[in-house]
Amino acid sequence: MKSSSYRSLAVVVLFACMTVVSIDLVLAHIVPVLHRREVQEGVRDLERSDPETLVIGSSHARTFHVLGAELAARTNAQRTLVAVPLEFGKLRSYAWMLDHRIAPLVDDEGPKGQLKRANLKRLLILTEWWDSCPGPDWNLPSRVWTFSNFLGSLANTGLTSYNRNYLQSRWKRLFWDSALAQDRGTKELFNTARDRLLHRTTVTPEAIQHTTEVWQHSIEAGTECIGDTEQMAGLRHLLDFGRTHQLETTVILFPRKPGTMTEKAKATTLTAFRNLVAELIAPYHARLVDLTWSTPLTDQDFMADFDHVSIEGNVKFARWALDGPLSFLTQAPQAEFSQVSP
Amino acid sequence: MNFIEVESFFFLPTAVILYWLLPRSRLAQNLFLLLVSLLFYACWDVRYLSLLLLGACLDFAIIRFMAAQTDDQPRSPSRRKVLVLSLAFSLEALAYFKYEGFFANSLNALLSNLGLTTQLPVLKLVLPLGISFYTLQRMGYVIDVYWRRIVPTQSFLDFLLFACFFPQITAGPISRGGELLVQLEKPRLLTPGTLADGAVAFLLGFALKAWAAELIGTNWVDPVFAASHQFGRLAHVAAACGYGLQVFGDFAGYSLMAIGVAHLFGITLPMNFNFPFLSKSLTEFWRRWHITLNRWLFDYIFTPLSTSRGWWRGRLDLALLLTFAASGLWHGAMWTFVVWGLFHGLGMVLHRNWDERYRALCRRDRKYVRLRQSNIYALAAWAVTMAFFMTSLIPFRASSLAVAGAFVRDLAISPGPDRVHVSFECLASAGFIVLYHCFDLPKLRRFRDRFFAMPAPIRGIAYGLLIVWLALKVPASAGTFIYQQF
Repeated sequence: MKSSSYRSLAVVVLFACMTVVSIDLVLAHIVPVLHRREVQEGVRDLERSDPETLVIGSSHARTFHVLGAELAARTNAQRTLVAVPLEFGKLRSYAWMLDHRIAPLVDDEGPKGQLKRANLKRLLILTEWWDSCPGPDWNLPSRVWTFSNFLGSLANTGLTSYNRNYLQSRWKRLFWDSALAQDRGTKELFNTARDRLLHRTTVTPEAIQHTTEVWQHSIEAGTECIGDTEQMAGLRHLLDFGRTHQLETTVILFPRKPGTMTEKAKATTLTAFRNLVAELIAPYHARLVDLTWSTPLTDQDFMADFDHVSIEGNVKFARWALDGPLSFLTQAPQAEFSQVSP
Repeated sequence: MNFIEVESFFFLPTAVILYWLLPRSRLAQNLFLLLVSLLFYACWDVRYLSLLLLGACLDFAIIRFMAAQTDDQPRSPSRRKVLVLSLAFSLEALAYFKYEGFFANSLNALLSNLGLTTQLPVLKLVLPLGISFYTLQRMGYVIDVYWRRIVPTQSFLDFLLFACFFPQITAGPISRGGELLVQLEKPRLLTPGTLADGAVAFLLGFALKAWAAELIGTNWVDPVFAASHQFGRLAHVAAACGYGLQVFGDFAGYSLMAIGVAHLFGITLPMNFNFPFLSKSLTEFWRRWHITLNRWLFDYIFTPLSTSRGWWRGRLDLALLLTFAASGLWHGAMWTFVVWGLFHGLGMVLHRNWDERYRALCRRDRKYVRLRQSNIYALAAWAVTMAFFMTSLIPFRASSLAVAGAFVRDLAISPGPDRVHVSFECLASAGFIVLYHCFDLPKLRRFRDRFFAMPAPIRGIAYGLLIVWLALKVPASAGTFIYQQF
């Protein structure tokens, strides 16, 4: 092998790096890197501000980041909102996130013992039927953990596929603007770039129909899993937090893509979940806003993943919601919510 | 911790930079490497670190005791006693953690067949990472010291590092004292060749393991072994051949990565694979495949048996069968592995006898010599060797003998349609392993040499393109690691 000098080695490394970076830049130009709002951004915003409303939810809480901007614009920044979206979140993982990342900030005190975020008066819990089904909290290491959480887990169990998720996400954060790094684990970049270069689409009407049927079946089958004890305990924990911190608490059932909901799903899974939540929150006197199928959003307002609302759809939703079922956000919080006893 | 996973991105560069910033002294370097090795192992499971250290400490005490015995006879009773103590501890640990369930289950099945209701308890133990590898390495060293083939080290630190050196502890290569320990006894110097060789070996190993082996396994092997009754004959053949490529990519790739990592620290580990798919006989194959294990088995089982003074002396065929049965059992505590080992033992016996007969023919008539030197003979010998190896992998891959039997039956009757997932990427990954071998053929080797002689910028661009390809195509997690479970 020809590697006789440091100079030669340095040239090899330099050209290898240049090749990788050049291709990465070209790929990022063809398929721009999407930076999604994560827990880290939500916690950062909460750390830097004193909002009136805190939104906790899954990736759908990103929609409420747009709603927050609309709210601030409408109220001349009198009403502020911070959304903390936990990708792939379920009720139990929201509770973990609340305890470990959000509560310390909410309870943070200044030098004279006064709360640093005394303006916080509202808590919006964003959920849907899937959040109440059992399942592992794979998203905690990757989205919520800090380095100390990782070290604690490492000491207890050694390096496992579970806590390795933390390292994976840190690695991706290191190369935040790299298309290659952000694609790791999804392997979509190559095909997407090729399709865009060749101006071809892989989304056929048959594929759309197939995915729609998968979603419909999934929601209908949800009746078997909703109301998991641990997940519902997670919701109770969130409500307890709202009560002990005297926050006006609202549980919002997030809208689903209309085409994915059959009449059967509405009559079974979705109604049953609504009833479960209504029953659970009753003692807390929290508000329930069910938007599952009552918004003006159409199938076109959702992304290709059939789950998340598109950028334009978010704006449409925000405007509609602040005029309608969430108009209370534009008003000052109600005093009676903070005085409700269990 | 695993070189294929994301942690190595944080761990390795940090360790390499800190290592070369240390003073160039044996003590500093070895102490640092030992700490890194212990951290590496503890990241898997800190509890089993004690087993590793206990065995190493015991063996060090034993080799020092042997060194203190100055009588001329290496086989003096006191030396023999401590050797037995060392071997008993190592084998007992291996038997307890690796084979307890296998023997208990086998005995329970036997008792059940005899109509007895007594059942032995079956413990569900976690197999300590790398136990099969580090146990053999230490045993080999103690036996070498016993026979005075090697001067025992005086340094506890060096021996501990020899027993725990992190690049090889997970899955080898199984080193000897004369290979690894002698390097640990002097300070390592940083050279550009050290870093370059290490990085190239690591990159090549990563490509073999994380890309080629993973892709072949997912597309050609796993679906057929999971439901062989749904596939036709071609798919079965593709699965068996694909598994051969997958095992090679998986293990040779990881061995290359381990060799590469050791190189980054200025240490050379022995070669573990030497282009085994170029072999033209089973004997040659086992000299090229998992070299360090087979060397160990032949040096510490086959040779002592076949050259002993007792009943075994000269019984080469039986010794071969026993050696390969041990090899099968080493690979896993299951009857499928024992069958695989015996299959190869039988193959070796057949080849040895064929070779002897053929040599007798050659002595009688020179035309047989010419025939053996012909391309036709070479091609036929290669085809038979490969067919034998690929067939032997059926029990090796199957989860039970019943599954292996079903696979062979379905291969014969071809119950399903011949669905083989053929994509550019699959073919490219298989082609990558084939090309890797082809470039070691005498006629093609010059192309490989020509690449390494190219100007540095061109080599840099080639490595860059390979890194991009791997970044795009390698899954985020390693998936399987076949040899780690052994």
